[in-house]
Amino acid sequence: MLQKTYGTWVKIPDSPATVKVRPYDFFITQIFTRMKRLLFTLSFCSLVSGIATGTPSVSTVSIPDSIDNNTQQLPDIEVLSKKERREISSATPFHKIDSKRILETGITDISDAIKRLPGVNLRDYGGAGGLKTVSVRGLGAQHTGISYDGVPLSDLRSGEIDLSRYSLNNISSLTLSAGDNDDIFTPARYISSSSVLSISTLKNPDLWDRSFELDARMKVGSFGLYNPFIKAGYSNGSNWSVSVLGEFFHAKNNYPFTLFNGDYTSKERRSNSQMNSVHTEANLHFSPNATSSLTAKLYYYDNSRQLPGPVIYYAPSSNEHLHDRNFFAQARYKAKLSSIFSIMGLGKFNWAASRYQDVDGIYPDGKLDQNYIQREGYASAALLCTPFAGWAFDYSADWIYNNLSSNLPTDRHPYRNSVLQSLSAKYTSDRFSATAKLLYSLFMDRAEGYIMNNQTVDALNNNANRLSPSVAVSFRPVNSVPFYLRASYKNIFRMPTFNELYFDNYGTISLKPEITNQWNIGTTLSLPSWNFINELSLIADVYINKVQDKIVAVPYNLFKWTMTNLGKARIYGLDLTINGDFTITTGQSILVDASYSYQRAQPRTSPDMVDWMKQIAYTPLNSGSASLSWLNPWVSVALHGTASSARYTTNANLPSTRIPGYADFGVSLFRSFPLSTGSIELRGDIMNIFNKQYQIVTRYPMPGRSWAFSIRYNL
Amino acid sequence: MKKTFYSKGFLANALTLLLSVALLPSCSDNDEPDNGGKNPDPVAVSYGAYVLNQGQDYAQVEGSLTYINPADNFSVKNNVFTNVNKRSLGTTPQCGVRYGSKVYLGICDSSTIEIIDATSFKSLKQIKLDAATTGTSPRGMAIDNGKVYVTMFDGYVARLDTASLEIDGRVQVGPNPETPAIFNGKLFVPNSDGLNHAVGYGETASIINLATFTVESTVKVPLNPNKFLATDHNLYLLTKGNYFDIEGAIYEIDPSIADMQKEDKGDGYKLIAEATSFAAFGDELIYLNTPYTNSTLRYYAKYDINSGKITTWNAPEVIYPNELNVDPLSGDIYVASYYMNGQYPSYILPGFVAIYDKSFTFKKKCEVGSGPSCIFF
Repeated sequence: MLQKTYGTWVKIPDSPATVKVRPYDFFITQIFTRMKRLLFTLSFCSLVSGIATGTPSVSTVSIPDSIDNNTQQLPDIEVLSKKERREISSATPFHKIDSKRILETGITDISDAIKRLPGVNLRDYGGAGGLKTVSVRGLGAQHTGISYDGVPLSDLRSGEIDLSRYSLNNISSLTLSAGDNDDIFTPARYISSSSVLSISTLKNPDLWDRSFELDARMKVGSFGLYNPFIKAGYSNGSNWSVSVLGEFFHAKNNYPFTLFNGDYTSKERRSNSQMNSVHTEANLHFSPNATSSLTAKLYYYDNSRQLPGPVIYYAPSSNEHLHDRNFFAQARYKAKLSSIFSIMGLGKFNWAASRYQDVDGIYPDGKLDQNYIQREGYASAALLCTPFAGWAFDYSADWIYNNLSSNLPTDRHPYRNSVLQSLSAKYTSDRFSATAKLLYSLFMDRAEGYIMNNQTVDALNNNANRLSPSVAVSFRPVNSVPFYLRASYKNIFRMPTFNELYFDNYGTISLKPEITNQWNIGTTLSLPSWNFINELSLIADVYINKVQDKIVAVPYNLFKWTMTNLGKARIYGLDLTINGDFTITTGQSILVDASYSYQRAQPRTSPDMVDWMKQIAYTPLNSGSASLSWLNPWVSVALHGTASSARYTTNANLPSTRIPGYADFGVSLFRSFPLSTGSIELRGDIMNIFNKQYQIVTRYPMPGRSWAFSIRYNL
Repeated sequence: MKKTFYSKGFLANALTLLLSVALLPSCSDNDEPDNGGKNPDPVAVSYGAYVLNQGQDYAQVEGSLTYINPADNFSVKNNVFTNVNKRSLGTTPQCGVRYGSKVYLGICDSSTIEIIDATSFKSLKQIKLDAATTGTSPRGMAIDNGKVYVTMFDGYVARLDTASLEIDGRVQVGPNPETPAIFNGKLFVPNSDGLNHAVGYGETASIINLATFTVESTVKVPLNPNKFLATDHNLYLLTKGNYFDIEGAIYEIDPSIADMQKEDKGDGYKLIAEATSFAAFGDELIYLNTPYTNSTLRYYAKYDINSGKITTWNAPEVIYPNELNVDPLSGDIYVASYYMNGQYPSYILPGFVAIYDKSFTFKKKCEVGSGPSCIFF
């Protein structure tokens, strides 16, 4: 098999003993990409990330940990026979769902994917168009960093990213890191949040093989859903590749639900719930020589959706509408300068508009019309130094400019310059690894003044800076067994959002950052393959998170809220994950995935408050997910479910504010058909098969039983 | 508040609106039917006190109706509407009146009017309001001559006929009308313009001739008018300032403003006192004030209409007062209050009503629902 290494083709012996390909895989080979490219891949990207993770001896060959061609974070060939995944070797909690697992475990959409991750709490307002935000380990969604192909997304107005805009079509993997991850060759901004959810999109065609790739899909489903997707990629066979994609999503979202009102129940439907979105991207991968690589992306997203609002007894339908538009351009350059130094540069420009309208006679002129525009300029540089075996050091510096403008008469045009610098060190030996990072953050806010009703609101400057350390260690007691003990600590904060600081007179300009401290200890174990066991791994972590200076809204008087650094919280919990892969016979296997989370999230602001030591609103004590898949040459089946115990809508945990727990099960059938050129994959899904009526956010019912069917052609 | 808790993007705005709107204790006063023999069922015996609790819908804390029976040592029946009718009263009950043997309740976010029997609490009719014919989001009520006049937050006054239990007309006012009162055959409607707060609150009142049910004039009043209140001979207005550094206040209104159609304020208004809630009993105004600039301070007082004398009193039993009203028969003073959660009032926890007699002697504390903000008799 030919393999490109440092720009030259070398022959690498096939080694079936070290790389397992399950018989089943042949049936879905074409689904992801061509096998011949997959078994041994080497890209510069993987090499650099191998260095960045501080692996002691940088071998020239890495192989992907899974069948897809996502080549980030690969184990070295030395551990190949143990098929060690990064989830197992990471010193901090790390979980990954790739596109293969998305298919095989019957994951239906991004919110389903996130619910399969441990320690995660998804706030889902229901339906395809419903806002979805994710918080990790009880810290609140504003502490969760979201990155898209390696570059963080941001929304400084609210501090939260709506994940509903990301369809699974273009996703090659989702990873979740609680605390810092093992990689030190990253932008400083990577370590500026308590946890990071990374979205990696489908890769361009591989550089060394001149080719044209086509991926065309169509998904239809209940409640008026149709979702065509097309992606085309081309590689010139030596040093560059391009891809473009377009996606349209339409859903009426007029799903039925049962409204319970005392002794009365009625069958209702969500109304004013339609959405139309367009997503398009262009990607470039350019590798001028074997030691450098440039990736660039243009992205545009446009989502025009009606908002059904909460279910209000007796009230007429909502007239709300939200129009989001987002454009960004980003580029990343990596180069290995010598055996000791590597550099990385990254740049991004982001423009995001959000227009909210509500037609209702109660508003001036019968309509509320708010238009917000945010812009971001971002540049990052990182220098990686690997002076001697086992050690790696990184210095990264980021500059971020954000601003916000709106059509509100009280708009203050706030803008923020952020300078983030990080110093990281990593030591790795055969059985021990340790990472330490230190982040210095400097924020400079400016907001304009204005004159309103003969009152002058002054312009203001607001600066903040902090030092934030983190450490992580991992130890493998027995060299031959992938069994790890790990511990980590991270101190970080989130800056107040523009809304919290500057919105009308509800914002409070004197807000301090909200600080989190995270401690984690855990163990991971991956059993060697034996007999019918292809893989069996266990990940268990316990953690304590503390929040201080929590930013909360409090009544300024009976009529106005204001923001203050009042709250404290303590969260302790347990995350458990089991992955199993069992071979039944040639061509058939069983996959078992399960995760369980226990989260005890206590408000601890003051003992004289009613919520003292209760459970934080919307945080279930127990939650989990499980899937059971039978992969076979005929029609593969995945049964899956997610469940949550009861939650409260109030920190005070008043009995009347309890939302019952739920379990939502689904079934997925899929099969792929090889064609003479390309392949076709068919998939059918039934979601919420028992038609369980439940809600995650009060007054926002979730869809009942529904179906989806998708067809995909891959060349 | 209404439908706004959907997206975090405008959560901040929603919060502001929430507090500017939902928690504005807009409430009908204890308007007695304008007598002169027209009242089909004048108050002869006390029906007792009705307390509307707004709840907090986004937190799944439902609004409710509480009944307090003064004849039974102020016994309390909470959640009476739901208990009797086996269904929710709706989201954000906002205003109510008793007229004869019926009680009319305005549910702001559900945009309904519930007509219930005053003693059995059984629902006689639910009127679903709509923008095209009635106006939506009821905020305040006044009664006169067989009609209930309901201000609608989208800018209307609807007229509900108490015989047919139908809305038989509406007239445009606003923006954002609050609690009206009837004086000299005219309906005085304060236009708060509360949802335009970003550029300032309203400074107008609409005066409706009840005989023709048309707006006779729109006059200028002090900032953010919230509630008119009529006594036998006088008309008063409670304004709410800007909830920040302009305090709420009671003004005595020169009745001649109704005829003046003038745009200049100052002539027809006499400042009585700073206040955030008030009621009338005989020739006295009873009021309370929780100053915006220092919400730990509370003032309770009565104002003698004839002498102009102000007498203060203490109500140590009250924790965080929200609204006050006076039993028109006994003169007992009902003060609705929040409980505290730490150093801030809780809009989630159930509140209470503290009852004083007319000489300000504490009589009883009654536990009610969350967010008691409207009391009527």
